Amino acid sequence: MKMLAKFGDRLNPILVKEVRQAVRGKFFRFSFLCMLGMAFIVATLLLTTQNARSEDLVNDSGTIFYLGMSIVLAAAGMVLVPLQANRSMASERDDNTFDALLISGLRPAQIIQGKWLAAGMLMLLFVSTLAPFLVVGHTLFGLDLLVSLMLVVFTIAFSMTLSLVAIFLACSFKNRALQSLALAFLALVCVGMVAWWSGGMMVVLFQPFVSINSGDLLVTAATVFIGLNLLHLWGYGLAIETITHREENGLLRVRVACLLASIYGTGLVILFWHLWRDPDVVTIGTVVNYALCTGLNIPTLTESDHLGVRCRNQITQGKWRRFGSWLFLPGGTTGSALYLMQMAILSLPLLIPGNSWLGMFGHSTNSISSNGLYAAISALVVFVPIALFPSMIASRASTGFVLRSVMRATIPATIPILALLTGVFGLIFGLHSMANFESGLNPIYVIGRNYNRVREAGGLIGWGFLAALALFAQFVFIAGYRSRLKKLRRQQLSGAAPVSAPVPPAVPTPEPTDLD
Amino acid sequence: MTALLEVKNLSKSFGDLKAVADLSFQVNAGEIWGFIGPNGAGKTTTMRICSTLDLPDHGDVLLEGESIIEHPSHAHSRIGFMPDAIGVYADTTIEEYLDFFARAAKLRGPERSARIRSVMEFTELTNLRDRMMGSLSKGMSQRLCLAKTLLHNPDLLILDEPASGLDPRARVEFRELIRALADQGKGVLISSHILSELSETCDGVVVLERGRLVREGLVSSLSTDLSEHQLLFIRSLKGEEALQMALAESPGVVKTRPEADGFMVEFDGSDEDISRLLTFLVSKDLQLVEFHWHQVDLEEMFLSFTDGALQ
Ligand SMILES: Nc1ncnc2c1ncn2[C@@H]1O[C@H](COP(=O)(O)OP(=O)(O)O)[C@@H](O)[C@H]1O
Ligand SMILES: [Mg+2]
Repeated sequence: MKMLAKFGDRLNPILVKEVRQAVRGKFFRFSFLCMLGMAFIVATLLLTTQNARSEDLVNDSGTIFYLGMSIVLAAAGMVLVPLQANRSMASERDDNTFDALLISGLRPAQIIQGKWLAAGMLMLLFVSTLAPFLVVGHTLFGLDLLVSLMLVVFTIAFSMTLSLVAIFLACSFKNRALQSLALAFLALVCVGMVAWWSGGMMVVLFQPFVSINSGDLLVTAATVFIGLNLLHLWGYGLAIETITHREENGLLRVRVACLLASIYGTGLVILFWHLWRDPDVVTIGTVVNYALCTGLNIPTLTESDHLGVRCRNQITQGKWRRFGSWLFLPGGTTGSALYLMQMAILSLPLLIPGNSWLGMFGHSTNSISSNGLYAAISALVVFVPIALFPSMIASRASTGFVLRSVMRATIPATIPILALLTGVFGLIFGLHSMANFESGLNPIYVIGRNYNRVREAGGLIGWGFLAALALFAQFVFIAGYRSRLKKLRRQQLSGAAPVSAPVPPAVPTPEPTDLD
Repeated sequence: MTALLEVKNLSKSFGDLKAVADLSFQVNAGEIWGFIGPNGAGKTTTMRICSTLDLPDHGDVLLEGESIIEHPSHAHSRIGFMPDAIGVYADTTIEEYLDFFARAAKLRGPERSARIRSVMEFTELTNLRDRMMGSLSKGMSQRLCLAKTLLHNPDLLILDEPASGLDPRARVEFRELIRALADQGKGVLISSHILSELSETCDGVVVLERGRLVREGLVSSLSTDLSEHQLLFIRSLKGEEALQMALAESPGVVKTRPEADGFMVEFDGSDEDISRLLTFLVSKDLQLVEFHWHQVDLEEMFLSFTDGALQ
């Protein structure tokens, strides 16, 4: 009893509050009944139709039963739960309770955790209502228990991902219009997920004629699952950042997630190479990893630098601790260092023999591996400047919110912009039709060529040129914002002027309006 | 001694609007400071910055010498901020609401229930413990909000218009609660645009207008500040002109100002001089009906400081 009380004390306060509210609230009862009703109807329908069926079709019934249950579970897990999570977070803002939360002594991480856990509880409850139906499915229709378990685990994982997105959206947008837009987007994502996932699982699990190596299946499942969890960690860190005080190290978890992702990605590529012994896997895997990690690092790369110095000075004990934690302090500079470190980690699989550096300098330049190596290295040469250059601008202390956001958008936007630019150049300079496409200027072609094992020594040079072009494109981008930068600088200078300067008498200041 | 709360050269703009401009003041432990200004003066903005909910453009806020801008999380356990409107949680009772914030403040086990009981007693909410939050009247909500603010036993209380919307009786009760808290050694910063609310309770006031500090100091020193001379109020039945002429002849009178039905006189001199002035006026047969000291109250101070711009 005492243990229980102690455990109750340690529970996340938000979770306790949410559960209390949920038990009384209408939404909860309504959706719970809906869920039970739906499962019941599906089960009854199947039971009644079962009589009319012959023995041979038992397996088919299993498939139908699985489909029915997965739809019920998906509806609950991917629509109701994320919606509830979004509602619960958004209502904190709407009902004026958010400020009280922020100064209540709860850490931002606890707030997000609490909301997220509450969504998880709801999901577990829904799953537990389905358990009896799954047992019935097992005894009557021979539904594989392992399959049902996978169904449950994956539904929970996807549902948690969507809930996190929902919470993040609620944290990021105060605006009601944006909220509804985001919610609609969320609903679309949910529907897409349901369609993709129930279809996909069906094919994988109920098609005995497609022979799937159970080891492969396990590896794939584990890959998806761990990847999803890494994404959780990343999204969770990002959600926390949105509600963290601007003077605290908000992106710490995002940094950790990025580093873990790079290690995981590297391990995955090496694992796949061991399984399939295909150098192409190494190349493609590495390039995909570069792209993924660049995307994941955008928030930390473009963070303002001013905070890092102070945070660093706060770490007073131990030279080594100070040194070790440096990468995890706020600011784009440390973000860039961490990013480069991840890129280095991700490049490790390129050292695998058969894909070796020696191959590049040796005489076998036409071998598969060296071409793959070219592709990977040229991808690295493109990604790194595309990521680092905007982050240099974004992390300057004087950069305002708008410019920082633009810089964030620049990184993922650069590659399509490049593709467009090359197309436009092709048109303008009248490159003849084939050269237009099969040109070293066309990134899509260059990637394809390298991957298609076409002998081409100029690939690296072509990509280097593209990187230079990327820089140029970014310059053009920034030029548009130069006036804004200047204004920001001016504001800063005027702000730094002695504050005791006489304030001009109340000239046409806008009529003060009352907020309360 | 470092002040409990020190606001230093605080500035905050919203676009082109300077909500707070170069504001500085201090609050010591055990003192109640009134934060006065018309609507839109920047009180809420300042208080939100002081409770880490907002960031200033310039300046700093120190809590016992440590910046809360740089160390916001340190401030949370020491500052209690009561916003002007309480956020209502649906389907939550008063006790559950307090329990939630007590948990958030890391109060555990019996300590938590004891603390909840004591703040409910202090704010007289014990009988309402099972009422739903949504069904509370304004006065009850304000008391609940205060109870929440006191849960973690903060050293500094920042109360944003706590008495607005309360009936006169509740207002008196509220004032007593605040006084009791200050007597426990807490520093209190309390904002209002209604002055009578603060005049009896406050040790000092900060008067704000359009984001700028107009006057700041202890109530006692401010009233002498207002005029270096004593203020006398004189009323006669003989009409204004006669009185004014008589006053013009009298020694010691520095300045006269017509009021509703009499004259406000700034007088320079000892008690004997006043007595002589009275004898003189009586001898002029002015039919005096009133002749007394004028005690400057907060309202008047405010009006004179803000140039009537508070409308
Ligand atoms: N979030 C905000 N965005 C834009 N203007 C604001 C915001 N908060 C306050 N203001 C403006 O700042 C001024 C001061 O507001 P406030 O501090 O709420 O005044 P008070 O509490 O003294 O009535 C007002 O003119 C108000 O309109
Ligand atoms: Mg206000």
